[in-house]
Amino acid sequence: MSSIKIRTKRLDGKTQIRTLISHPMEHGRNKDKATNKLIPAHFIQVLTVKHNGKIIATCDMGAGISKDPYFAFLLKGGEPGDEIAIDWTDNLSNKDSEKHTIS
Amino acid sequence: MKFNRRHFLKTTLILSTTGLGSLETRLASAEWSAVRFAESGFDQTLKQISNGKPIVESDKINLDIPEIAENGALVPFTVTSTLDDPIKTISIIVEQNPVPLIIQTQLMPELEIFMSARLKIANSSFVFAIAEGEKVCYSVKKKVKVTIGGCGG
Repeated sequence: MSSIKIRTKRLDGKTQIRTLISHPMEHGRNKDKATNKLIPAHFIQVLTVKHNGKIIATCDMGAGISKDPYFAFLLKGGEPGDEIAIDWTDNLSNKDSEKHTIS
Repeated sequence: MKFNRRHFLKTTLILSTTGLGSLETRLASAEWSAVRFAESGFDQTLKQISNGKPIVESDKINLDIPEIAENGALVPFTVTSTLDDPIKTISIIVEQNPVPLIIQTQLMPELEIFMSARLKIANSSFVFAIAEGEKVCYSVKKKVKVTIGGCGG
C-alpha cells in the first residue's frame, strides 16, 4: 500500500489538495529508550506535487516536519478528472508516489 | 511483441530523452541542499534563504500558528498572503530549533499563495514565515510557547 493519501476538494473555483504521508521523520538526535542508542536520521527531503504532469510545488524539507507529515495546498482552478500526483524522496533514497483524480 | 534492433533503439531513445527532461526539471528546482538544512545558526539560515534580497516585515503575509503549543512535536501552521508580488518560495524557520529551516516550498503560479503543514518546535521560539518575491523577501514572525518539547527523546 502506498504511504501517501491524497484528498482533493473543489471550493468555489479553487481546489484544495491535502496529503498525508506515513513516514517516521526521525532527525537523528532521538535516543531509542530500549537500547539507549541514537535512532538514525530518516526523513523526507523532497516532495513534489504535480497537476496533469506539470510540477506545481516542490518542497525541500529538513527533519523539522512532524512525524507522518501533512500538507495542504490550494490550486487555482482544477477540473474534475484532472490528475494530481505526489511523490517524495527521503535521505535513505526511498521513494514513493501516488496519483489521485479530482472528482 | 517481437523485440528487434529497431524497436530497441526506439525505446532507448524515448527513455533517454524523457530521462533528460526530468533531470533538467530537477536541476531547475534546485537539488536538496544539505547546507541549508545543517545545524547552523539562525542568522546563517536567514542569509541562505533570502538569496541576498533584503528582508522586510510585512502584514500582508499571514502565519497562522497556535500561540501556545501543548505538544511541540506537532504544531500545525498555515501561511497565506494577500501580496500582489509573485511569490516564488515560502520558507518556515524556527529560531530556536537545532536545524532552524523547517521547509522551503517553491510555489508555481498555478497555486494560490497558501500552504499548511505541521512542524516540530524544540523550545519556545519565534517562528518566521518568509516569502520570496521578485526583489525583496517578506517576513512575518510569531512567538510560540511550547510546553512539551518536540525533540526530546
